[in-house]
Amino acid sequence: MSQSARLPRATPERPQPSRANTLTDRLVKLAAAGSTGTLPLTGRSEGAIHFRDGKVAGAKSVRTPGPPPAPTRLAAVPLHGKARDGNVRAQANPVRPCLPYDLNVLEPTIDAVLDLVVSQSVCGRFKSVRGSDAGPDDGVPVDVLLAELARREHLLRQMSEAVTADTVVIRNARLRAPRVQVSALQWALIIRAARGITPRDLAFELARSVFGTTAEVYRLIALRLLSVADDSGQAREPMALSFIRAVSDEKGDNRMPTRSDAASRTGGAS
Amino acid sequence: VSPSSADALLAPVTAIDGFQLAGLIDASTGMVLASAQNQEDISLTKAAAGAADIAGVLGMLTGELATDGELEDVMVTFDKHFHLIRMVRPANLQTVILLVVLDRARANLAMARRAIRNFCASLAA
Repeated sequence: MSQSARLPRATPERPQPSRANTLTDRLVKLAAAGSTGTLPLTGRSEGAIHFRDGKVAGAKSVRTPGPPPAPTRLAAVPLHGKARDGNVRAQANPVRPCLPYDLNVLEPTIDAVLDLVVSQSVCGRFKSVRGSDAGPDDGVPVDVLLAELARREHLLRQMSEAVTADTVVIRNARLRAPRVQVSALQWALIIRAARGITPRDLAFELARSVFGTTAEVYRLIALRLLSVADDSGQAREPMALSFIRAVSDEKGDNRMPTRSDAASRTGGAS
Repeated sequence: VSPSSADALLAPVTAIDGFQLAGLIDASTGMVLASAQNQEDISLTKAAAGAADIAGVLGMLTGELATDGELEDVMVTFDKHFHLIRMVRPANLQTVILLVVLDRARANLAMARRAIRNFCASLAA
């Protein structure tokens, strides 16, 4: 039996122009060299990617929120927001489970790298160090990371005709349905979108990933609870976001690279 | 999450009769956060993506129905497998999906559901 943290892989796609290729190629080279240190990036989005023994141990981008602080229970956040004919009611929130902290660190790391890749940031000189104090202890193998980036780029393309991370969205003043029920996260997004806000700004306000927030905003547009603020009829009606379509390009191989695969290739345990 | 953390986290689920695969999936992004697998002929990636899509569609149904209830779990029966999907709602506005795939010939669906429910409750500890 194998047990490991796994990130899905779609067929690696590298459709971005040369700078993105430069970054992903650089990541592959640093992984192959088993590097430990920090790769600074500049350009439209500045940040850094931290390596430990050839794995990505953490990443930061100025355009994405960083890792969350120590886990806290948000007792004041309502479990549901519920709108009835424009009236809003919230339920009290019971005690919620807490997942291990390192599960919460993974998403900000991948979110930051995705932003750096999409922004075509330019690699600086790699600063090799003895150790890195960023990110999860064992880090994410670069091939697993690139596979996850490819999957997310596919999903971004699905969403891009309706919304991007920098599209201003606004809460719909009138609901067509007499009743609608939303999740706690969706409610938190809706109440912040009264005057127009981008998914990226929402992500910073809620200390969540930009990618995940954009996906939730996309779903709220599909539910007609949010709409694009300056929509001149150009935006398409959102379809259901399909995760299965994002991985269906993978043919002939039903397994994905995982951390345990990476560990077995290098002959060591991760 | 390190493999050892995944081992510890998902160990109770792997003890369910007929266990083949389990994954914790971020419902917003579809990313697999942690997994355990003893049957390599099932694609974790596709099973996880399918589970996330199912949860997304049923989440929209929940929104439209507005019956003041939450989606708890989904059971999908194939002729050889059970796919059990349970919603875990941690404290930080995140929604996580637990997917467990069982060998239908060896699994007891009611007992498995009970074990999964208890496991999700234990995450609150």
